[in-house]
Amino acid sequence: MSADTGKMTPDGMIFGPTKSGKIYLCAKWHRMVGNPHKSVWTISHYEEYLIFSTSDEKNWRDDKNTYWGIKKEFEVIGKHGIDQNIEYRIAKFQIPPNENDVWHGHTTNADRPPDDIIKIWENEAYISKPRAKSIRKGKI
Amino acid sequence: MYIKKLFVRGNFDEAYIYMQKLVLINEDGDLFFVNLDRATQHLEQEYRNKGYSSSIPTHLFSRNDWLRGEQFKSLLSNVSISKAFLSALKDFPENIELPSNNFIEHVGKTGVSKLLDTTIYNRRIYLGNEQGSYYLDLEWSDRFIKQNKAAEKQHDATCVQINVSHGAVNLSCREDGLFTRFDDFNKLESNQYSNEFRPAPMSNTSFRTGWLNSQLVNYSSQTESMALKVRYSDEKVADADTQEKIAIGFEDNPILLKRDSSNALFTSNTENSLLIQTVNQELLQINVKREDLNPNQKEKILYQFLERIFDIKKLNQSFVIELYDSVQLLNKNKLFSLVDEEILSMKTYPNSRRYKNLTTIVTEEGVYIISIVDVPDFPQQETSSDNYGYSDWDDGDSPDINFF
Repeated sequence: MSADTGKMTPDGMIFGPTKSGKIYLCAKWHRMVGNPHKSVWTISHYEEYLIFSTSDEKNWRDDKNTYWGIKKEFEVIGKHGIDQNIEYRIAKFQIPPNENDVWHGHTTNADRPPDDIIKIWENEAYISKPRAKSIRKGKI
Repeated sequence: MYIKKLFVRGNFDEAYIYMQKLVLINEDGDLFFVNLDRATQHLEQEYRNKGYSSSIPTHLFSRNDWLRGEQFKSLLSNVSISKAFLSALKDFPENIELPSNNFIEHVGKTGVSKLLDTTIYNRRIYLGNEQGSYYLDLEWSDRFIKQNKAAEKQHDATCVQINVSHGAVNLSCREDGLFTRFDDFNKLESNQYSNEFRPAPMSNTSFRTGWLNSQLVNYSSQTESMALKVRYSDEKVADADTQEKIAIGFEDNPILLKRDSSNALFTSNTENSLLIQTVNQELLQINVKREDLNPNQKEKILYQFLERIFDIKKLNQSFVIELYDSVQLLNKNKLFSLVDEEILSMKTYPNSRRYKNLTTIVTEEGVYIISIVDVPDFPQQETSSDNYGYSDWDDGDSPDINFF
């Protein structure tokens, strides 16, 4: 398995390692509609992995070691498990319970990255200034 | 419906109209203003030279109250005059730009950068950013705004919205909660609340607040809200000019405002109704009883949107609606485009006397002052009565109306 080529497993497609050595699982339960408690990715497995590996490489990490990610231009990357009109543009990757576990993540609009990460996204032109303000104000 | 835009070019984070001034604050916290009376006088002269009716800029951008005044309505009940005014309004350009260099005046440095919200109440400007919330008392005159000192910090929590009314300052501080200081201007002789911000009951998270039947609605997300019942003082206020009741506290048990158990995309409120965008993207308006704040069962569908709403402000009988990368005006089941780009800020002035028809929208390029004039307010059809003193004139012999 190369870093760019996924390998299908019963739990979903595995990618990695990232440059820091993390293995990433595109979890299948975040790709199946019908569960109101699970958002679903609407981008390809590889794009999902790219968001994670970029977040890992750029260290978009909060003080709980949760990584946060977005796609350039702040495109939609996920939807609600049932209500498909609820769109998500931010990804959240929580640290696995065990050190050797694979990482996985989901899209969200219930949470928001810390302000310093929003500032980095704005400075690196991942999002515009108005969009950064919208996120800080909880509009997204 | 006429929509006329006055653009003020420049890099600003926030804009607010108050006391004939467009108040502007940039990313570094520098405070500027545009004297709207002076600006409209300039525009009248400029457009008179171009052959347009001269009073239109003042009606649009400085004296909206004249459009609603009894004298003006009486005047416009004369069909000829009404037609002349509407014709002048129609002919006036939809987009004009103010020569910024000549009209933007620097006031000073607030010391508060990268604003998340601002509002002005009782001559005091309130500022919120990641570092906290602040206030600044300014000296206002017809011609200038004078700043005598830097802004003073009033709370440490990141502040994303400041809502001031009934003498109470409400700070929405995201996961730090909602904090309120009552009687901010010490209007009550028996004041025991000033100088202290207290957390509002059951409001551990707050992104914004809105007034609903004199109660305060706290929004803990774009879709969840609680109504905080407000207690008001019976005491006569020291300042006889103050018309509003002074809030003195909240009841302990807020009321959950929820239409049903289904998801929503966005919720907000007007002064007497809830606004809910359902997951089907319909925008609903539900009237709320004054007594118990319970929503009536009757729902009115205002519009079927094709995307999620980010924010709504009421503007007379219309709604100014922020979408992902545009701002639209919803008026009588029709959408009108106001701005086709992402925005930094948007305000309306429902409690203002002179600026009820205005919205200010801040983009990365500058500030749009947008005036919305709903023409059904004016008679357009020839009628047989009520010429109000002009009964000797008919359409073919009406006076040459040039006071516009």
